[in-house]
Amino acid sequence: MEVKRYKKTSKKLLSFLNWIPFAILMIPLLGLIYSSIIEDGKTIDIFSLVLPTGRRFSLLIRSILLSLSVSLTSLFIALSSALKLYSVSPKNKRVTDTIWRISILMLLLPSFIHSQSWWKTFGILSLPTSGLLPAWWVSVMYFLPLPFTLISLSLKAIDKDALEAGAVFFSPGVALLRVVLPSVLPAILGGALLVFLLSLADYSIPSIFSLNVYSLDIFAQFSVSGSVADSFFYSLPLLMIASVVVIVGLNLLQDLSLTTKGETIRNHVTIVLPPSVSLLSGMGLVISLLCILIPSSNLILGMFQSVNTVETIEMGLSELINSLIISSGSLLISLPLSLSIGMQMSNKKLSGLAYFVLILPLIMPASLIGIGLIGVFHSTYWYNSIVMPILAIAIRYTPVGALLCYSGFKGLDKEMINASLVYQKSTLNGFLKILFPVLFPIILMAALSIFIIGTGEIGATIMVLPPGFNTLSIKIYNYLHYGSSQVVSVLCFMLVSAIIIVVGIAQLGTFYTQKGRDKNDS
Amino acid sequence: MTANYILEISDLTKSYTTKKDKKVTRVLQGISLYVKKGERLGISGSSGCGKTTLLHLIAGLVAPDHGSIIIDNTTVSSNEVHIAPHMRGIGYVFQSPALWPHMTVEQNILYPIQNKDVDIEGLLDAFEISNLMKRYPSQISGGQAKRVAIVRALSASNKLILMDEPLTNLEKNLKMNILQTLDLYIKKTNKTIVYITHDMDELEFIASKKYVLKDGTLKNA
Repeated sequence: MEVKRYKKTSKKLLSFLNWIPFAILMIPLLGLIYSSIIEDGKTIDIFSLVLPTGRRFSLLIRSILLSLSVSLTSLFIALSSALKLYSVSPKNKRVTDTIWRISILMLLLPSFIHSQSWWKTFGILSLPTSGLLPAWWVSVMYFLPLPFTLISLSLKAIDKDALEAGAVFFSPGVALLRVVLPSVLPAILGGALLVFLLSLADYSIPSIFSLNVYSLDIFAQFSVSGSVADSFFYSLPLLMIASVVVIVGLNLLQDLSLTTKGETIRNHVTIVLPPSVSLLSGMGLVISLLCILIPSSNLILGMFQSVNTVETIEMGLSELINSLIISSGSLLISLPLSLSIGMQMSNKKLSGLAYFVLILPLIMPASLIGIGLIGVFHSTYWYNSIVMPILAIAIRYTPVGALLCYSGFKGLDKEMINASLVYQKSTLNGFLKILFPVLFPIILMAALSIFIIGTGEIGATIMVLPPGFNTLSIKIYNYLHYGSSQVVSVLCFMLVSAIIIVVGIAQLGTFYTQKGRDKNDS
Repeated sequence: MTANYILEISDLTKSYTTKKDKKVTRVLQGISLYVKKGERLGISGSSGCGKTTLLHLIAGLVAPDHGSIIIDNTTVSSNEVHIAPHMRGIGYVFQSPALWPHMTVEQNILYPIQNKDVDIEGLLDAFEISNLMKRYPSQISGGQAKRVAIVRALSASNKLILMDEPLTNLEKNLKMNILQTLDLYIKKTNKTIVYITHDMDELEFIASKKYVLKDGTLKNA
């Protein structure tokens, strides 16, 4: 009989291996710090870079206020529309399910598709197509699916008994305030924080609407100076604000998450709303539907209105292939990292520092990830190769993959996993026959999400693309600046079609692997 | 110890440390237990007293801080040795049915079987699940899933079956029906079981030797 001995050295090796994904996520920041220390040839005025004054100070304030308003508006719309969606009768479950599924897909739609659609819509409505208003609105539309998904998931997991008790003892309004809203508070807070941080780091939407924000200025600053150190010090105020928000947010969420511990996600809940709230939330739902309808109708109409469709498709074909190669490569790196981090999170083995490192690539302005990688690899063979954009996308979206894996693993029946440990024929056999098929849907969901978001990535990729190499999303981004809407529509349609084909193939795979297991699930 | 014992536990200790305030809770304190072949050991105790931890230790899902566990004359856990759960030759009924969702009932039952002499047909008939074999776990009721889990454990091992509150949340008549079937089958096959429950009636019915787990130690019930 094989005897396994627990040795201290193997435990140390395991904890060392567990830290590898976090070390990889730290590469851009370490690159920035390293370059700041060794960069020579000129004297850096650190204080003037770190402490923003004059124009930079106004820019920082503008960025914070923009992100705050984007966060609050998207949160308000998301909450009201999610409440409306789950206040309808279970008879309309199919409609709510469809909206819910489409909104999850909208999470993966690149920002430039929203930008282009709303830019055209604003033009038709004779509203300003540049400046604060369109940048704010498009950011709200782009980030809206995130808090909507979080709040909907939280509503689906609400304690059914508490909901029924609330309906018996209180009026709908009081039950909403005392039972429903406190139950989804972690999702509300988490959604608001995430949107604030992501909006603060994003420059792709403001740049299209000619609005200067701090993260765009970091990109511009690097383009002018080419100095990694300057860019790092320049970005510190933004990073510090984001870090404080993350630390405060994580602490708040840690306390609040206790209230929803152990609840399971159901297919449908019915929340009773008072008439006034029902009207307001109905309006929220309409706005959420616009977030789906405007980009999708614009894509389809643009495709049919284009006169040079075939030529445009031919023009974007090589860039599409490049995009798919890069996102596939980044998936190969990101998925194992996401799985490892997701498993560590579900085993509750992560420290506060590890959570911070995990969220770092999300709160760092995307351009800074690229600049950090340049700082590390500029004198190596990898520089000016496709390894750079692959690594940039992998690092930027591993937190997304890890969080998805974590939520999937958290929902697994631990005893089912224990049963596989007790009954497996060997570790390998157990992994292949039990664990892998059980984990497959989670792995697939994470892989698809990383792949799709990676295909539409701009912010980090634009900094590190090798000369003469372009991706479809960057081509679209560049065309958007010229206002060439027909070409952009066709290229966007092409990108979305490629994504749909990949998702379709994956769905087929899921259909065959999951055949029968979900029947009668209700 | 003599070869009569199928399970020998000596001076078993297990503690947990809470992550937040680093508080150490000693769940099991020097437990010793000897179970003969064919014996039906019942353990009860309040929620959180360490019953499930004890079974996890026997199954090898958790390593003890101190002490040793011998199953069928082989040391499976001690200060130096830890044999993996699947190499201990045990059957385990968890609190939840813990069936693998991608496998049919038939595959769930057949996958763990290593001993070809097991009378599967007899077991399926006894527990009235012969007609469920081609179904997936999501296509059967909670009571049926519990019976499948019991059949899986009984067919997986001839040595030792661990049962962790296998009949919780079941309706009283159904619970009694399954208990009677289980009782008959165990008597017929002379299997050894360690049965955990907080239901004293259940314990009274199934166990030949009864203990209460309290303050980390076992006391005669």
